[in-house]
Amino acid sequence: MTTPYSPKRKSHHSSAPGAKVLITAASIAAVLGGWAGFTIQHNQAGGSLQVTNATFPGEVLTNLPPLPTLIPQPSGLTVNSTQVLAQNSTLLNNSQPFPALRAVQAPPQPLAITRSSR
Amino acid sequence: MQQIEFRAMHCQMSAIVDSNSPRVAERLAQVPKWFADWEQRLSRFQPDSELSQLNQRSGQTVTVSALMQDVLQAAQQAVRESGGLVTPTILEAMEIAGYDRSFENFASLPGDSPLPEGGISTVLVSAVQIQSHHRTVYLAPGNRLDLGGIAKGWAADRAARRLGALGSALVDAGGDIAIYGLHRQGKMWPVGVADPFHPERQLALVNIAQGGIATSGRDYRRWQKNGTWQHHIIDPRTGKPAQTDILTATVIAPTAQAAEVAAKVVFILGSSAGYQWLGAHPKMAGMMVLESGQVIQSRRWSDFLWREE
Repeated sequence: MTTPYSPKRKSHHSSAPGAKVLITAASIAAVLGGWAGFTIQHNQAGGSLQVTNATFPGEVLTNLPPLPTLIPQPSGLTVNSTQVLAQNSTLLNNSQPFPALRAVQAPPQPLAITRSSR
Repeated sequence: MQQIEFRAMHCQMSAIVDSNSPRVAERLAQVPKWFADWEQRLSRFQPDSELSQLNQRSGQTVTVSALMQDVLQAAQQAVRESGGLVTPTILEAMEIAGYDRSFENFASLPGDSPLPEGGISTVLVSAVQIQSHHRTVYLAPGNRLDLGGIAKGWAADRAARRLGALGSALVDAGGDIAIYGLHRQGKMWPVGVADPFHPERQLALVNIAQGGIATSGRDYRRWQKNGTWQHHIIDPRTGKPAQTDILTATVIAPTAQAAEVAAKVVFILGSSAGYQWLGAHPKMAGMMVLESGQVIQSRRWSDFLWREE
C-alpha cells in the first residue's frame, strides 16, 4: 500500500520527533538494501505513530531537511573500518583557537544586609 | 576588620571597623553602651525615658538634653525633607493601629478597637518647637512623639562617625546602615539588599563608599487587627498604615538618617510617585519591591550595583 505524498502531510509529520527517527531509519534502509516498506499513520486521538508495511516515494527521502544538530558536520568524512573519524573532525582540526578563558571575579560577601526593621 | 553584634532598640545591631589601631576592640565594646544610652533616652516603650517624659508634658516648655535636642532637630529636618510624610507626630496613630508595645511583645493584642474612619491629623510640623539656644522644647497640647525610625538612622550615623575616628566603619542599626570611609584597601563596603519574599536571600549587592542605606517595609512588622493587616508605617495624610503597592523600599543616601527618611517617603508614596520622588533627588538611589513581586530601580541605582573591578 502506498501513502500518497502531499506537502501538507509532509509538513505535518516532520514536526513530530518520532517521525524523523522513523524516516531516517527508512533512508538508511533504502541506501543499504533497497526500498523498505513503511507507512506512517498519524493517530489523531493519541498522537502516537504506528508503522506498517508500505513503500515510500523516493522524493520523501531526498527532500527531508537534515536533523538539527549542535555539532558541526565533519567535511569529507568517509566511514570505513580503517579510518579514524577524529582525523577528519573539523572540531579537532579547526585552526581557530578557542576563545581565551577569562578569570571572573566572584562577588564579595556582603558585610551587612539592609532589610526592614528586625 | 573587627565586628561586634548585639541587640538594641528592639533590633539586631552590628558594628564593623577596618583599622590597624590597637584601640578598635576597646571602642567596639563601647558601641552597645552607646545604643543602650540612646535607647534609654529616645524610646517610647520605656516609661522613664526622656522621650516618655517629654510626651507626658505636652503643653509645657521642657528643658531637654543636648542629645534629645539633636534628635528632635533631625526629626524636624525629616519633616521638611519629606514634605510632612515622615513626622514624629504619628504616635497616636501607631497606637490606634495596634503598635502600642514593642514588636517583640506582640504575642497577643489587646481587645480590638476600631480605627477612626477619618484618620488622625498628624501633619503638625508646628507641634514641636525647639529653642536651640535655651535647649527647650515645646510640644503642643495633646501631641506625643515617636522617634523610632529617625532615632535608628541618627544612631547609626553617630556611631559610624565615632568609630570612623579609628578608621573606616560600618554600623548596621536593624537594617539602617551607616558607612564611614573606604576600606583600608581602598574598596567600598559591599551591602546586600534582602529579598522580602525570601529573607535569607539577597536581591542586590551594592557598593557604598560613604553614606547610608536603609529599607522600609511592611514585610515583617505587621499584624492583624479587626481582621485587616496593619503595619508600622503611618501615612500622616490619613493617620493610618500607608496603603501602598510597595512591600519594601530601599534607598541609598548621603546619611543613614536621610536614607531612612527617604525609604519611608517612597514606601508611603507608592511605586509610581516614589519613583518620581527619587528622580527628583539626585543624591539618592532606590529600589522598590512591589507586592506583585516586581522590582523597580531608580535610574541611579545601577551606579551602586557591585561589578567587577
